[in-house]
Amino acid sequence: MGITTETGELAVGVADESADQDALYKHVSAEFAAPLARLARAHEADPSLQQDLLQEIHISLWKSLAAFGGRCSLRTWVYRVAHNAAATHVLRRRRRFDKNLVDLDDVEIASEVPEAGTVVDEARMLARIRALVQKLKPLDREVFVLYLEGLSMEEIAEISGLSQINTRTKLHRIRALLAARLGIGETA
Amino acid sequence: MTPQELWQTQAAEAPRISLEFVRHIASSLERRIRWRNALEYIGCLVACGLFGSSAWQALSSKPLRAAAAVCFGVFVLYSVYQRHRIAGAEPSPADAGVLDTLRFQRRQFERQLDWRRLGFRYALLTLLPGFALALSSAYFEYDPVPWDRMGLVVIFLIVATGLGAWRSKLGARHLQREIDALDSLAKSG
Repeated sequence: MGITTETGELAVGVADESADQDALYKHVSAEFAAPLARLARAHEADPSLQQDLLQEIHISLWKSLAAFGGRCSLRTWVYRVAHNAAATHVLRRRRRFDKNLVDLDDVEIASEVPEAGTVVDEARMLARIRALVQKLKPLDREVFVLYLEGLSMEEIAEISGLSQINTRTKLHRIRALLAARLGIGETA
Repeated sequence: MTPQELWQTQAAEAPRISLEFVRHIASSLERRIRWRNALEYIGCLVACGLFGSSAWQALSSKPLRAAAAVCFGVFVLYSVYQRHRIAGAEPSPADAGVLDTLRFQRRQFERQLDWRRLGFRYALLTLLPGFALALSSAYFEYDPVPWDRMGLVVIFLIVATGLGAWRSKLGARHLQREIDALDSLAKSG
């Protein structure tokens, strides 16, 4: 049984299901290596634990691919499984975090607005985005990361399990936050 | 550069994780779980074997003592069964969204909370007949009646019940805090 993904022609062509699983995993780990690494970085600030989280994500992915069967697009599947693993990781470490994490609505837009005429360099912008992401509760963080990864509203809603209206509201808030905090316009 | 483009430039140092490594880690995790389950079953078998052997030896001369041993054996089996039924880990749905994952985690905590609240009562209900039979055996089947041992058993029963109730209450309170923390995390959904 071969599986063709939307991102490329993956000709598995092997009857054995575990071979399918392995071939799909190889494809996924090559195709999504960068987004998965960014996801781990977004959910875990501690560099020594980022690698652990990345491993957990890859193990969850490999296990889940046995049940993939083309039920949705591979991209959606990968993001769902990866975000699930990341959220579980955050929940496991919730004692350390739960007092500090906030909703999107609780983030003060004006708190770090750069002064007029200030040029925020890219490294600092990225640091600010990361800090903002890591401040959020898991669900808002997921929407934020998926938005930054360039997924559409429909895809984000499908992956997060939120309604499209709820997702749209969150995205609107995210764009406003980014524009205010980084002092730049938004294209998406 | 937009925030999205900026975010995606982080790709450069993305590490690769090989299939062999993932397989190795996954299989070692499964092995650890299998070992833990096997140890629990072996412990259960050993305890049941000891109680069974004690019951068999006492069957002809001291039937009440034999019945008490059988009750304790049943208690061990029942406890393991209830723990697996009420508090055993359910596999998390791998492809669930974060919202569903949060709900799943909450359900798991609720199950454990039920186990904390009900498990102690179940344990007490199943243990009491065994202790009653053991005390009856000491009174009716031994001559002279070993009052000192019976006293120790009663003290043990009272202390164990008190400790069990305290531990159960403490565990339930801790789990309730976990559920509240989870609710606060999931609130934005």
